[in-house]
Amino acid sequence: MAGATAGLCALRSAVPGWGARSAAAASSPTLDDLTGGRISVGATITRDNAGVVKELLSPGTYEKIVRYGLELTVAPTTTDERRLVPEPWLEASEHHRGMAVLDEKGQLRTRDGRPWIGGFPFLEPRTGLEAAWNIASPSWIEYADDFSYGGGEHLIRKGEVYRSLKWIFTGISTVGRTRMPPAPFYPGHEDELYRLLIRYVEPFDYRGTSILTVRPYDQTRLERAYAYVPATRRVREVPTYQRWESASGNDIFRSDHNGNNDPLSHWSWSLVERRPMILPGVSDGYEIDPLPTIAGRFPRGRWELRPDAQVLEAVPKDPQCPYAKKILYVDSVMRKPLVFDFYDRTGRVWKTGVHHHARIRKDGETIISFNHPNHTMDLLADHVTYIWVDAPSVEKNAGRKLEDLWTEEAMLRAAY
Amino acid sequence: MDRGSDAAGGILNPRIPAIGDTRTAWLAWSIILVTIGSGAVSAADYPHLDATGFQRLQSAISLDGKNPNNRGVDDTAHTVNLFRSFGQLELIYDSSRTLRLYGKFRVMTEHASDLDGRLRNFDGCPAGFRGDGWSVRVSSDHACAEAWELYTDVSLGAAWVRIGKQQVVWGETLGRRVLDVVNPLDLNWHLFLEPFVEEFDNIRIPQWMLRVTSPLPNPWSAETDLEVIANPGDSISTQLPGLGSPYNLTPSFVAVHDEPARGHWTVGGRITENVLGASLSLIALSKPVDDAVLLSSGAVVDPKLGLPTPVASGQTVPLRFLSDGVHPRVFLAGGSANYFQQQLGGVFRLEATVAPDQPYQKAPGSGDPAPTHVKRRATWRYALAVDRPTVLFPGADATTILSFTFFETIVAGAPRGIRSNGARVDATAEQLTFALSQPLLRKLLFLELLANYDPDGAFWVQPGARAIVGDHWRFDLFANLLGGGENRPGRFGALGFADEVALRGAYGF
Repeated sequence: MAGATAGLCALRSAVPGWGARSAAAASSPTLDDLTGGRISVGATITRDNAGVVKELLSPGTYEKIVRYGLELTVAPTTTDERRLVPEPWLEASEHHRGMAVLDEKGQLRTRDGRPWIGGFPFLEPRTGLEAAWNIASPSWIEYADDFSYGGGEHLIRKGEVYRSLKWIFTGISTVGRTRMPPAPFYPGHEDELYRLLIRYVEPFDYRGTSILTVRPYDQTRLERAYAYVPATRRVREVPTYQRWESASGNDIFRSDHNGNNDPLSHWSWSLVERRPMILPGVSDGYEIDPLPTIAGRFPRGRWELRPDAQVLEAVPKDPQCPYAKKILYVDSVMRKPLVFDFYDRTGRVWKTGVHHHARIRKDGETIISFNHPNHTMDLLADHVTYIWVDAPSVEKNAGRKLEDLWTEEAMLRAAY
Repeated sequence: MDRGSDAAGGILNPRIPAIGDTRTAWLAWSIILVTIGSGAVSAADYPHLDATGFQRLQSAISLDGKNPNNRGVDDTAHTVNLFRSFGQLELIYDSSRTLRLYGKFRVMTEHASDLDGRLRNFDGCPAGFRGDGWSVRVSSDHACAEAWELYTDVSLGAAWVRIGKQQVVWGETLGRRVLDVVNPLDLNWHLFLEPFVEEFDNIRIPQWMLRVTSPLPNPWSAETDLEVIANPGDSISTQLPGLGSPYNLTPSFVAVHDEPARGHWTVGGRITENVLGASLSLIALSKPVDDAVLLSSGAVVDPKLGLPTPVASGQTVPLRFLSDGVHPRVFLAGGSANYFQQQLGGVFRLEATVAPDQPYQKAPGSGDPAPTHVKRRATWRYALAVDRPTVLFPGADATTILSFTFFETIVAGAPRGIRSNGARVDATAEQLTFALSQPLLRKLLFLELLANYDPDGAFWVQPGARAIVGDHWRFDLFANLLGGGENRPGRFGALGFADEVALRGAYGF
């Protein structure tokens, strides 16, 4: 174990460049190196051997293993970035390299003062806020101008599923568009970052309910939200002030989605360190477990040693926030948080979330999409939200227009 | 709810089966399907048929026991206000991305009078008016089945057309029908006393209409939409409980003959807009009024139901007063503005309408016993509301609903010259509403409260609890408490007899 710790310490100052990615990965220590040969690729980590790799896991992941029986098998490290991020997105990021700046308010602009024009804004983030801007838009996380998929969530209490919801989730970027016209901005909506729409399909008490979210580009402002509830037959603007609760009773607060769903100015961001970690990987094709297969709570999924994870810590500015902090573990190639831990006011890890991904070929190009059931666990309550995606329903860059889905009028049109 | 409280008067109509009309409506629907369906283009995941619905059983136990409006019909104290099964099936057929057929079908049975023998003259499914076959409904005293909604959606480029029997809902203020004035209400089986979070979905009467919505390009905004509606004559009035119902609003000594303004058109439109984060709308609507204006047509001697009335010195006669309900046309213009104020954490809402020629009863002259003519007065209605989720219990979720609403009606001119349901009309009338829904247990249990206060001295309070069990079961326990000294028709105090405790259980799918 001492050898493993020494190996980790040696890596904690790495700031590898984009172009050096492959070389950096190739020269990175292996799992054998980091564990003194006690854990190798292909091994399964259980509560019996988790202590060996404790430093390579997030505290939340470690606790899931030792307290709740999560088991994870470590796959070989993926070194080709094109297998982790769609090539067009990599190209856009490279093309726009160096064009992103943060103004005095921490607002992302291009050097000529426009909203962001697409791709990762900060290929090599130097600050926490820069790293946070890389994940500020779900569309950027999806590597697409628009996306949609069907899926659902199981609510699991002490290993028993007691409620299941199904929904359709869609999003569209209004700025930073790279693939579909209009690009890079949606005319008239340059002051927005994106729009999201979720429409519930099941169970009966949620059925037909849809919520449209309009995220301002200005990261000091809360999103606007519009809800259609079948019983009321109308789209009503609803407050978005309540950040610390979930919409459906699950474990994901409004603030929590994708690790952060708040205006960036609501948190103080720090890029604490960069180090190798065992994180969820990107599997070849979908591997969907419709129900938990491990300990009644967790899915199977690809995990691998990621050589360079950004440890992004955020401290809330809202005194009402029940968290002391949250830590997002961001893969430096995918630039998205794959694991996130939320700490309560006493310093305990309260909740932890995991995002798995799949790589598929669709319509002639590679899509990276959410894959195995992602899950968020309330470690204190032994409660899991198990989110799955219906693989055939995934669409990205379909060329949808704003008025197709993401307006109040479109909500009414789709409603019944 | 305000429309319900406006609604007094009543219907004492013979049931008209109107089978021919029903067939006509089904035929029209079939023609629509065939005509439009023939042009459908199927996509990979079309056609698609979906179904949803519920089966519900509900009962309400009276806390008052007697409805004074049923004097002479049911003078004994009853216990059961309601014992109803309610089955609903929605079928959604998406033929393509541009074509949807939709039907909502429901069957209700009412057994309160089976359980409570003191309800001797209770028709649990009252309805019936000339031309009601277009409502696609059949009923007996204990059961009714109907195609509640039946329409087709067609997308034509950026425009969207809905043709058929439908509800059109405007405005955003919870439970207030300031702009939500297109369809009338079916109050005949439970007034407006269902859980307030459901608003009017199950009692807003769908009508045969054409509705067209289209973007309205303009240089100032990217999100302006124009909506036009036209109802060629499927005009329906507010449907009220019949004589003998525990919820009857009309005194038994008044016999109302109320025929909806069948054949009279409704036409209107709405422009919606988002400006600087505010949702705005403007509406205009012309239609026959939903609530009948009651005009006296005489009186008859009725020893059973008549009101002892002095007709000469020292002599009284039991008279039953006859009224005709008329539905003059009214024009409404209005608008709404809704804005989420981030610092205060709430959505602020304003809705307002003006009816320059709102019809009222003309106050009877000194020699006339009852109104016989219509008199029009400009009438303004507006609601100011704020919705602000709030954490009431540390550690619990914030309320899903916590709203305050101030609602006011202003009538122009001297109010002495007009009447509403025979009662004097105030120049201004206000209501304050507080609504709350507090989720507990991961949003599986909701504690809810609606409190309406009329500063003239009346109230309606609806406390309740709603529980979700698993993915299919829902239970509601709630009460309706109404009363106060302000008991003019249309005010909550006039409904003091309707206090009750209600329980519902539903299986949904």
